[in-house]
This record gives sequence, C-alpha cells and structure tokens, in this order.
Amino acid sequence: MGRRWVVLWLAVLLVLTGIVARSGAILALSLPVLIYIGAALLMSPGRVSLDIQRFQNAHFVHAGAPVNIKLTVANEGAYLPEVEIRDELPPGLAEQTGSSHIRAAFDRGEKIDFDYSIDSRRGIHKFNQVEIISSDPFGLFPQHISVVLYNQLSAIPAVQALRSIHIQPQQTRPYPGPIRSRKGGSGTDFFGIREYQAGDPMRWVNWQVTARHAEDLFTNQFEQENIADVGIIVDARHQTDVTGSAGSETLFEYSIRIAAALADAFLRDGNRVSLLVYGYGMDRVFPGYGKAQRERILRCLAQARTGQNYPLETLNYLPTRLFPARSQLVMVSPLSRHDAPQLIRLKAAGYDVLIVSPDPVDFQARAMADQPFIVEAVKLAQVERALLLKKLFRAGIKVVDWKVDQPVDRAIQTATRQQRHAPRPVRWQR
Amino acid sequence: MNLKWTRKCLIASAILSAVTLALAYALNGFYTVAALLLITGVMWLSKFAQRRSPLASLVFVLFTLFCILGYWLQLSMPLLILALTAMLAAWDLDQFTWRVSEETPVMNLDRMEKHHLQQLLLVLGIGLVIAEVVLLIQISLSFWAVFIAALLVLFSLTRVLALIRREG
Repeated sequence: MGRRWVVLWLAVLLVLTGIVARSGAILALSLPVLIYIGAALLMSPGRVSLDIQRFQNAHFVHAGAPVNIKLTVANEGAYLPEVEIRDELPPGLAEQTGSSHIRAAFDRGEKIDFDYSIDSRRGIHKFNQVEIISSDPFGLFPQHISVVLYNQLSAIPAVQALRSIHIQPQQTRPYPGPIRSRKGGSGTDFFGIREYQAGDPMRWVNWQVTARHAEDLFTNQFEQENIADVGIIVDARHQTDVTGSAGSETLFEYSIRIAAALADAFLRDGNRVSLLVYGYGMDRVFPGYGKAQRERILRCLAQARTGQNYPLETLNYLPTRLFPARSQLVMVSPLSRHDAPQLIRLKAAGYDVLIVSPDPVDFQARAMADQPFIVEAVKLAQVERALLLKKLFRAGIKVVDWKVDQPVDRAIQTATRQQRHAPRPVRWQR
Repeated sequence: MNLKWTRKCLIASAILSAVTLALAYALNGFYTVAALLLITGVMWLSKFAQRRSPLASLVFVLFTLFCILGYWLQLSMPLLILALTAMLAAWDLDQFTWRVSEETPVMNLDRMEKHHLQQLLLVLGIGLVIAEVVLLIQISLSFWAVFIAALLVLFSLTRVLALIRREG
C-alpha cells in the first residue's frame, strides 16, 4: 500500500469510528490527520510550468564514445516544493557518470542545470521525453507530467582502418582506380603487345619486337587499372548470430564492425560501394562514392539488427539485382551450412564473391569453455565448418575465416593473397 | 545526505509520541501496554538508524489503533491527540528521509528540508491546537447534525481517494 493510502485510510477509520461511537473526542483525534491531508491538497502545485532544454555535446559519434548530456530546467510558474525530473533514456543506454534524474525544490524563476554522460552503443537513439513528478510538500499527491523533448544520437560503428584489399571482379567501371581490369590500356602492369597506333607515346614502343619485323612498329600494352562496383552484404539473420559469454557482444556486432571497415577501405580506394543488410528485412544503401556514401553506409549499419524473418532464413531471396552484373560481392556472414548452394550460384552468375566469415564456432567455444563435452562438440562443429569453407573455396569463392580475437586486417590480407593465385574454380553446373 | 534537522526532529517526534502514548496508558494502570509501546518506539528508531523503513507505516497504524483503543479505555484525550500528532510528524519525516535518500540526487536539499520542516510544523501545530481546543468546547449537536457533518467529511475523503485513484 502506498504511503498516501495509509494516511487516508487512517483518516477514514478515525472519522467512521467517531460517527459510530458518536464521540466528538475521536473526531477531534482525527483533526490533525484531516488537516494534514487538507494542507497537502491545498499546497499541491496546480499548473507546473517548467522550461526544459536538453543539450548534447555530439549528435553523431562512434559507438563507445562518451556523450555528455546537459539539461537546463527553469521554473516559469509558482513555487514547486518537490519536483523529480527524469530524462527518459532510450533503451540500451545507461548513465556512465552523473544522473539523468534529479529531485529539487524550485523557486519561481529559478533555473537548475544538471548533466550526465552516457556510453553510446551502436544505433540511432531517440530521446523522446522528460518525465516530471511534482508533488505537495508532504509527497501525498504527486502529479505526473511528460514533456516531449526530442533529441537524436547516432552512434555509428567504430571504423577500423584496413589496408587496401585485393579484389578482381570481372567487370570494372571505366574510371581509373586500383583494380586491374583485364583490359589493355594505360596502366603499370604489362598486358600485351599490339601494332603501333598514331598517338602512342614513343617510350611504349617495344624495340625488341619491332626489330624482328621489317616494316611495323609494336607498342607495349598495359593493363588498365579501374575502380569497381562492390556490394557488401551483411548477414543479419537471427539463426546465424551467436551470443558469447554473458554480457559480452554478439557475433553480429563483429560483423557490423568488419562491414564498416570494409566499406571504408573500398570507398577509400575510389570504388562504388553499396550495402545490403539481409535478415530481419532488407535494408540497403544504393551504390555511391566518397565520404557521403561512407556516412550513408555507416548510418545504415548503425541501425542494423538481427531478426527472424522466415522467408529470409536462407539466401534464396538475396536480391542480386541490386548489384551490377559481374561486380564484386563481399559477404560478411558467420555462414550457415545451407548457404553454400546460393553462394556458389552467385559465383556462377559472374559475381566475384569474397566472404568474410567471423568464426561462430571459435566465438561460442570460448564462451562455453567450462562446459562438459565442449571439446568434442567444438571439434565436430569445426570439421563441419571447415568442410563448408572448403566447398566454397573449391567453387572459387574467396573466404576469410576470421577468429574474432585476431586482427581482421591480417586475416583478409592472408586470405586474399593465398587465393590470388589459386587454381581456377570448378564451375558450378546444374 | 545530510538531513541533520530532519533526523533530529524525527527522533524527537517518535520519542514524544511513544512516551506520551505510554504515559497515557501508564496513568491508567496499563503498564504492560505502556512498556510495549515504548519498546515499539525504540524498535522503530533502531530500525530507522539501520536504514530500514517499512516499519514506519506499521508503527503509525499501530499507534493510531492504540489511540482509538485509548478512547474506550477512557485515557487522557489531550495526551492521545499529542501522541497521534507526534507520530504523524515522525511518519512524515521518515517518508521524507527515504524519499530524498533514494538514488535520485537532490539539489537544494537544505532549502527543501527547511521548507518541509517549516510547513510540517505549521500544519501539525495548527492541527494539534485545533484538536485540543475542540476537546475544550462543549456544544451539544443533534445526532443528525453530527451525522451530516461526518457524512460531509467522509464524502470529501472519498472524493480525495477517487482523485488519487484517477491520477494513479
């Protein structure tokens, strides 16, 4: 029972007893209690008029960065004997220092500031309202008021700088870049020899070949280096996400971080990059270049979450039309054992597929290290995963098997370098 | 959390209430009840010192019931009114202490405490004086006048209860 009910029911009890006993003395006994309740009613503030403003030192931060929030509250109405002000934090955010709620007495025209800091988690966080609880001096009749005060905090994933990633899609775009395009033209790497054409620089003339022919001049051809279309696919299917030890991050958070790093690396090289988050729905960022595109991708990744969507449990409905034909696809996924046919089909359709796969077996094994029979279970799961990766590798898909406690940059460089000269894959056939 | 004056007033009110009620019972020869009341008061204070609050409302209800019982035992009504008023003050101060000791930080605590004590003293002082004066006034009212007056009070209280329910 709330405290106000105690005093109110006691007042009722005293008055009723007074009536039943027909005793003025008992009614007199009830008078201090009745006057106390009456005074609380009379002194309870009527209309609460508070001017509240919220200030943030940043609206757009990297996840994990502290954000300071300051609230300024000015009383524009009558004296308020007891007010509790609660800044409603968006779900998933918690105070790091200071407090998001205070209790105070407000004189007319008084202004109070209070601040706190939060440890921003990845996501778009919306601060919607401030809760005010104003009561009489005895706290008997609290009045709840919600003030709409909208602010937004975008916590984008932290971007790790990666070295330039070697990719070689079949189709490149006609603008200079770092990717060898399998076409002759101006470049640095020798590509072939052709007959001299008017306009060719003399230093391109291959004098040794020319010496063997009486009439003709031959010039060296170089491989064009262009930019490419890169489509990044982030696997946000609920069934591929793995939870680690209690309180730690899920594997999906690592996928998000590596997707951000990959997008940054490909955009830095001048490529046209698009993003698809496949899982709960299909969030996408259409292809684009440069810093603006980087920001669009990071914002999309900030909002990404895993979810259950039965039609999207497999990769059957991966919308390949979003990605230009024969472009580079980079899939960030822990992979499930049913994914191989769809990925091989992508490769067969002409896409150059690179899979960056955070290792779910290793991730979960470390979280469950103290459980019995875990060694045997891990061994079985590792064998199953190794077979899956080998199947993909044989189909010509580059796979980065990344144990999340190891540097991803090294894992990508090692994998792409090893597979650069790998034998041509067995073509997928119906 | 300082609340020096609140704690002092609370302890003083609780002691005053327990002693007054015990005295009222002791004067009529109910020594066991008086001792019980004193022990209850001491227990509550010791629990308050250990920062455990839920006893306050229980002790308040218990003391009110003993005040009503005291009427039938024909104890001194001025003492009972004083005991009940002091207990109400102690209960209110206990609630105030716990309210401001929650995890919510309090700004202007000294001012809030000062205002609270002033207003509580004023309100309960007025209540006590009126109640004691009412005991001295001897007017005879017909049953129906008392009945209607009491009904009005009850009606007001039920309106207050309804208001609280609606807000809650």
